[in-house]
Amino acid sequence: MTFSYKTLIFFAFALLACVPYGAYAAEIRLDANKSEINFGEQFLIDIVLHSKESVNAIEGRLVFPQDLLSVKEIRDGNSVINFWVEKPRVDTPGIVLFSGITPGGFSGANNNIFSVVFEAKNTGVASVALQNIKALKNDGLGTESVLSTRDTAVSIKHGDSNVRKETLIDTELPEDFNPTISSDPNLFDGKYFLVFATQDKTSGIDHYEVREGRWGFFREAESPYLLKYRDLNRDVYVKAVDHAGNERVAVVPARYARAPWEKSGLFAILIVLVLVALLYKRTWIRFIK
Amino acid sequence: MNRTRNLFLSVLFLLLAGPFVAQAITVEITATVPGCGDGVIGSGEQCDGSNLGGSSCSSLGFTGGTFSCTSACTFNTSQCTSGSSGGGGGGGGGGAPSSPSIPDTNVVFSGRAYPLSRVSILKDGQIALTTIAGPDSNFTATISGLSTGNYTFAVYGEDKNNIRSSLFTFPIFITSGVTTKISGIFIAPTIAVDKGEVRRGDNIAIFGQSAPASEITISVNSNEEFFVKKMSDAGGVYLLNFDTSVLEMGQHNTKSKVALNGEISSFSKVIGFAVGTKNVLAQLPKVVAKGDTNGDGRVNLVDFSVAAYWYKRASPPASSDLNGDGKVDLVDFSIMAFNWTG
Repeated sequence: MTFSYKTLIFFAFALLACVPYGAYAAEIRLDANKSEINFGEQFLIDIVLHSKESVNAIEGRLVFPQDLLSVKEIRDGNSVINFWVEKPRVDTPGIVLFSGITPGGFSGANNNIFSVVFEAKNTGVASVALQNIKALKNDGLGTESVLSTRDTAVSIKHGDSNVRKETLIDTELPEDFNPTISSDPNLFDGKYFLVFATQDKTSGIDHYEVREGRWGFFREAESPYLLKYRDLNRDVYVKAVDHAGNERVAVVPARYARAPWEKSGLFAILIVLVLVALLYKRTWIRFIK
Repeated sequence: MNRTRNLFLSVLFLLLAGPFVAQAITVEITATVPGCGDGVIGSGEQCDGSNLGGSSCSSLGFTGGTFSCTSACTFNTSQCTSGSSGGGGGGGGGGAPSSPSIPDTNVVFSGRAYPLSRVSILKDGQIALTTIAGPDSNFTATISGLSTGNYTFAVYGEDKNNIRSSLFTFPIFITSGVTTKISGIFIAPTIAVDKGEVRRGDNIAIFGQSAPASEITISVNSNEEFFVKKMSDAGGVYLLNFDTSVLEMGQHNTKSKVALNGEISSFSKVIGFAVGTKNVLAQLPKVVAKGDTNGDGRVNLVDFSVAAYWYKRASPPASSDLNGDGKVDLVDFSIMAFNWTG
């Protein structure tokens, strides 16, 4: 008598479902959108938290068999987490790390933490598991919530060669945001730095870019960002780019009077060029005399 | 002579014009300077040049046509067609296609705080707006310009002594083009005590502010939990002189909640006090809360960023190591999230 992978997985989860979760204050589980896929196909796993009490911080890691699965994308656009201490990322092969907080906390069922798009690299049963998970109560002390975890497994088999992708259409810009310039004796030796954070409700924020002043290039940056020009006499531009490439730019106005080249742009450059020309003329006349 | 002159000219040119060569390169970068006409959709712009942000006639409710961006970086739907087929008749109707209005995505908050108190509303952990409640403690505020998706909103109030309430948090799924009304928000009362330690048998004053003429339930936690009801006055202030003879020696907590016209708030923050052998006056709850690493009276993204820098690093400053265990870890961030003001 032989059992298919599908049957085995069904019985395993039916057994798990019988385990009483009433003893736990919170449950974090993995929801796969498919239980059986073909080689080369993509599928989605949601990391979901159900909690009877208010929790405000969560951390842990997601472990997957790297010989069977590869991470194609991590989506945190609709996450209940407001600020990531460690944005979900593949830290070492086969491990996705995450850590974040929600001010004021949250409770209830089906709170999405983030989602991972996997692609099947090989045939077999891919078990995806949660490890070292901690959820802390919103009690002002960081007390650990009693937590249960529910893992998942997906059966990968040979199938048709049409690779199905987990596509997401995102035409919305990232949320409007207000970057802030600050200083703190415990960071960057008290020098001015820039902090910024926003959300993109569909695909999530991919990265940020910063440009100091009117001229120059945007460069990829992370918050907190040590300002290069600390006279605070130029506008600072922060660009949030989502996973679909939509961009939102926020500007922090100069705190003090802008330098001439910041204020007047091309006009200032023309004035400087005229001055240089005059200087050249005077110097040359003196030289030939 | 000519050679000397050429050499001089070259050196002078390099010295003086060098910096402007770089400037000349950057001049071309003006194309990326945010602002209308730079091709980048900045704050307050719907589109910019050919960058339409993924919008089209059809996504705005038209059936087709040519969609473009105005010189003011707003949507130009004048060439979009509404395709109202058939229908004939209907007098008038100039030639211009009818433009369906784009409904705003708003969230309207209303509820009760404290009379004339400042109410702050946080969107995903950052202050979206502040408003002032009326003398009757009622407030209404609207946040606009939202996308479709899950949002976490939080509301808190500050009483006349600048004591902040606990955060009232609620995650909501917002649908684009829909106005969502959230009513019945009842901000928990503020709470303070007059003594940090009270001699057993003496009274301890438990006080705070809430909605006027409302029923305040004050809980004093001991082995047995005591519940006492008081009415707030016209200014929303309540005061309970609690006789501590019923409490054991040791540490105790108190908290309060409010009820009015069938509506009830969650419990306030919890305040601790000790029952002992002497009376020690307490200070009002600090405006500067735990987690305020830079001492600006707020716990927000700046403090989070400083703490995040020290996450898992050696020898963090005491201002970021909130539980004093010598490291910055998730527990410190949880304490910060509890005290968050945005």
